Amino acid sequence: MTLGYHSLGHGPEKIIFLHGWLSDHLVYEPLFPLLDQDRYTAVFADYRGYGQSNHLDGDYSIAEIARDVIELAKHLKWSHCHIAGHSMGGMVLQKIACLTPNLVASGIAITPVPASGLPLTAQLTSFFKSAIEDDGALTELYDVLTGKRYSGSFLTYMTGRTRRVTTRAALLGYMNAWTGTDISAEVAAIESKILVIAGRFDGAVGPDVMEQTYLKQLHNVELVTIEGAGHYPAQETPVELFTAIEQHLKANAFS
Amino acid sequence: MNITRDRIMFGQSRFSVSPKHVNPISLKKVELIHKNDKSPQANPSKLDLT
Repeated sequence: MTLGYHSLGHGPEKIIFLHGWLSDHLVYEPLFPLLDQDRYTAVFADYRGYGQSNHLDGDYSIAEIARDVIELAKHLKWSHCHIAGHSMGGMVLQKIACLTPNLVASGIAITPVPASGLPLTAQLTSFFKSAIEDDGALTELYDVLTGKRYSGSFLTYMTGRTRRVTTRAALLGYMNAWTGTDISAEVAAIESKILVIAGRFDGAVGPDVMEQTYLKQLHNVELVTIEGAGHYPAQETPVELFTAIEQHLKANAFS
Repeated sequence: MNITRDRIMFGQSRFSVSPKHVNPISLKKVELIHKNDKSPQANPSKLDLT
């Protein structure tokens, strides 16, 4: 079993992109035309239950995603690569760095869930579960996550895309994963450089949360805040996001 | 369900990291790659358009 993925470029600098809870790999689509395909080979993976892996089920855990991505790297014959993870994918990239430190040349955690997870109150559990089932609640969640600033058309578009690319069973399973998993005791051992990218208008995991978690839990870490972004910088501020990613990749090039 | 506030406040307990999990040589660097009110000024044009 290999995860489905989209590949772009043929360059020597290799990078795997991991998506978040509410989207498949297409969350990164606005970055596709910006990628220097002679310099980079980028693989955009889909977790079990999403996108090109929609037909695969599993236990929907952080460890399972990490093992699947490690298998994907073996399938690609990659022994060393950068890993970028958005939201829940930021937690996954840390797990991968714990399991296979030599694989991870560097990490890029984009508006990421911390290694300690994001435990929910009973009220928030109820809200997030309603967002899995109900389009109105999911639209409201997107509104909060992006700072309550955007056209309803954008929020409706994001909601519709979530419904198209994954299943309610996968959303519920992975919600339990990012709320209930705590790998903070493991990540202090990570040696790879991790760039954390936060969005000033992120309604869930903004720069203050990054300072309380990533900057304390990791020792080789840098935080960049994109002033105009919320939780979805690939959609909201793609050029700023790509610029931050590319600066990091050039500074940590291995080829 | 009530989420009328602007932010989702997650349980904060896990944000407190045990000292044994904090490396004392933590590298902390915050860079603002874009500021809303302090965007770089455009280079003044040297062309005389009058």
